[in-house]
Amino acid sequence: MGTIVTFDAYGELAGDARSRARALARARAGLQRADALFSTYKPDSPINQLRRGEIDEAALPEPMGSVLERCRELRELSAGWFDPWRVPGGVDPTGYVKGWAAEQALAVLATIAPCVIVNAAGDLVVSAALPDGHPVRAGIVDPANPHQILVIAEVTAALATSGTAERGAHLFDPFAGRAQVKAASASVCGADLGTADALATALAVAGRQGLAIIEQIPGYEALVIEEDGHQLVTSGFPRVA
Amino acid sequence: MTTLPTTTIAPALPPTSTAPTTTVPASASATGELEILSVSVMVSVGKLTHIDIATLDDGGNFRSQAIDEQAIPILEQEALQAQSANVQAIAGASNPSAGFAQSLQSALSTAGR
Repeated sequence: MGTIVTFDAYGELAGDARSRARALARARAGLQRADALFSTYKPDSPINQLRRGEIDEAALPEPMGSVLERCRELRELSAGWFDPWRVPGGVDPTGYVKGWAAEQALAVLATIAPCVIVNAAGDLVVSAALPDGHPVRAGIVDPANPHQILVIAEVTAALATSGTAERGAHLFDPFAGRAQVKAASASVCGADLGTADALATALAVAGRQGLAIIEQIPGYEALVIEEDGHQLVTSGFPRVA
Repeated sequence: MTTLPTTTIAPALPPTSTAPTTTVPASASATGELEILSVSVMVSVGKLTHIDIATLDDGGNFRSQAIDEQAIPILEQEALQAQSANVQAIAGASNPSAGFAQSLQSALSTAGR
């Protein structure tokens, strides 16, 4: 997928250097495995074989089946705005998989330090508060100028952002039947990064009308930044600046 | 994604300002397309003030060269901004430089404590 994933560890490192190196290697291998299974850029990836109709879903190696099952749940949860099946070229769960893969990496790395952050090209998940007890703070970039921070949010678990500023993003509107977005950027925070990633994808396409959907989902909050810079949030979005 | 690139941030820059300056060892790692990028940083009173490329071991890779020439000033700006905003992560930016910037910033903020 050509994405850069960074791992940051805060506080006293646990274990010895070798055990930490093993954890890093496992985290990296997990990301590469996710890429090998789900990359729509690799012609022979299982997801592309499925898209071409060469294999059916039952023949997919695990954990692909459970990933697609979660995508079906998220399609329901997002009232159809996140729909990996209603895109040109066949099923494309990329909007969930990046966050899901980063969650897998965090599960492996969470033991190496009191606070670990996995940031998959702007979608991040944290294991705990900083060693000084303060929550991790993330700067959400201005979609009109991705080199500037526009909003600062406290992150206790996952924060995903989707939008037009995202490299390679051609978000497809399942209701309009074409690629289009109604928000310049949409951020969703909550317990799980795969879920937040899928909901942020849905919200970028749905725009401000999608906020009511997120408001109904326990534990998830959202921010929409519109093309004109207008910002809207759900009632509990952890914005601090 | 075929190799494990490592970003190593090493103390290398000599102090050039009159402000009290110390260099601190810090490191960060990222999985991406770069092989090894070593940057030198200047830390003054616990604050990052300057970033420079020390070495870029990329086997003559054109893309890495482009990152070297174009992204490093952006990296520096973003890392400085992340530091001044007291954030540990940049959200919503898919460009590689932001990932490096936040990693660099977090490594340095840890080192500066």
